[in-house]
Amino acid sequence: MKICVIGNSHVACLKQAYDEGGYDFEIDFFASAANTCEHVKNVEGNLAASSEFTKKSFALSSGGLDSIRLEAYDAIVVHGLFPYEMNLNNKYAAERSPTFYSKAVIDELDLARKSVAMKIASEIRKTSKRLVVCSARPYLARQADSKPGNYERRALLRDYMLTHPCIGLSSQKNIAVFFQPEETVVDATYTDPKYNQGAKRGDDRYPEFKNGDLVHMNSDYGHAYLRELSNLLPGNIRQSQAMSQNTGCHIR
Amino acid sequence: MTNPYSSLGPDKFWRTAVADRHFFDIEDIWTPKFSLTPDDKVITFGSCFAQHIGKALQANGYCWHVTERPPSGLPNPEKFGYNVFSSRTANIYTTSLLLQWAKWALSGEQPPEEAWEQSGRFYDPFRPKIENNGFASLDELMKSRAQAIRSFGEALTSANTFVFTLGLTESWLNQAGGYEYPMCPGTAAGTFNPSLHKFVNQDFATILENLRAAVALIRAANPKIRFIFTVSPVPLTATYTGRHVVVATMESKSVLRAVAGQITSDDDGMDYFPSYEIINSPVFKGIFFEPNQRNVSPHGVQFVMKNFFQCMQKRAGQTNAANTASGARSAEVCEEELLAAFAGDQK
Repeated sequence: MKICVIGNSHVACLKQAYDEGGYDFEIDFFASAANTCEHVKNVEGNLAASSEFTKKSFALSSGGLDSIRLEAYDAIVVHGLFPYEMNLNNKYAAERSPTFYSKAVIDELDLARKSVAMKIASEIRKTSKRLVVCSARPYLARQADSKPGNYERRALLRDYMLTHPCIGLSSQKNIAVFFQPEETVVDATYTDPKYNQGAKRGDDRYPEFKNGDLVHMNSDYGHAYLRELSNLLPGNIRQSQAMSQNTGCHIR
Repeated sequence: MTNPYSSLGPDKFWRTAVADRHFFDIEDIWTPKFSLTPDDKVITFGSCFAQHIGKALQANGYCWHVTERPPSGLPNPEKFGYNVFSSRTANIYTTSLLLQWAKWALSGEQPPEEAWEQSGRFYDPFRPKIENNGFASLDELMKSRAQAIRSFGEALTSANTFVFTLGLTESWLNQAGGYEYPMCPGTAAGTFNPSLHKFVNQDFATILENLRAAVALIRAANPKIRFIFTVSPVPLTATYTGRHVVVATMESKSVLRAVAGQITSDDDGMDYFPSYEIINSPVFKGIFFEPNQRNVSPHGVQFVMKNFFQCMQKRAGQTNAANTASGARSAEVCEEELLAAFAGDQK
């Protein structure tokens, strides 16, 4: 079993966890800062970086590979470049507003459809039918004064994300939305701060992020993520495939 | 020996009001008939220049009353015609268009069912650029139009001050239906039909009559509403009168200016704010125009609005005029400029 993880700085904690071992699948990482992963194109079955920066970042993070041979992998994970469910709140609210909004206006609020993850998935789908797993960056680490989120709202928007955006994606099939592991979540929309302590960057030296970064997580988070991910990988997803064959979406 | 002029203030004499001053120091150019407070709900509609007024009101702590808001989180709402005017009417260039919208919103008059289809997309003849790529379906267009009419009606009935900028005298009518388009069909969208679409350069009496009718309709629904009229200082993009565009512009603006003066002259609930003069008077040497001598620069907009708020604050008894913020940097949404695209077609 071999998978490919494409993403931004949030891939670092997955890489750390993977390096610490304990997994029966092989991972190649392709990381590039912020949203620079959007600079990729499918060239004859290879996902190739279309900017020098992304090309260098891919080579650095993968150990020398500057493009991604899609058929070499059983699944492709796109991490940190998809919105989390709460990001669809505006779209959800607009669709239910007493004020009429046109489809073009509502589509502007569809952060899933407009995400870098979906751009990458579209490039992958030009030649490959392999499973694509899209996941958001983690929720911010909770602080002492964080206002609690709303579990019900999150559940509602999770259902909404799994039904509505996936309808638009159904032509691409075999795309899974992967939500943050529940064990890492506190107060509905925060990450337990224990997963934030000692978070490091993903290069060989693993220097720590500057103090106060609430966004990046540590290898404990990476382990939680990879454990959940393994349940989605081919061979483990027959049940979810059967459940979602009408939409082409898998659910975690 | 005294005469009637001897008791007048310095702002009534050219030398003391203008010649002895740098033009940036000219002040008290307007004496508002009524004051505006942050609690007043002010709605703005009209021609392109009116777009700046709403944002400037908001930036200066006044209540710009918007009744058709974008959904939360919409990036660049102006692209979809939100936060441009108080509702999503797009530009209302003429007083006859104002009356047409007011009848739809307040009199229960049904708007025409006309819609323009192009390449599978649907365009609203009364707001042809409100969605740049048109609507996905006729049903969507009609629902959006109905929403704009409802929101326009809500604006008229819930505001206490209406700022309206008169923009054009030249108009295009549907002869069979007896209604008016904001843009000539075939420019922003639609197809021009010479046997159906008629050009009318409205005269003083017609414009005044339509404005009076619109005011009466609005006052019947909202007796407490006050009006501030302005005339857009922006020259015509194009004229269909047959005259040179400079001559047509001067005639058009002169007529609109005269209408604004006439209708506000004997009514304490209606005022005229001289944005037109601030930009166009020879006193200001045309410095507030961009190099194309048509678009008003952000500095010009800011200068106009600074005068608006200074005069308003003096009216309210405040001496310390604020540093005026304006929305002047935001791009103006002016469908009329589309006409410039047709300039190259002339041989």
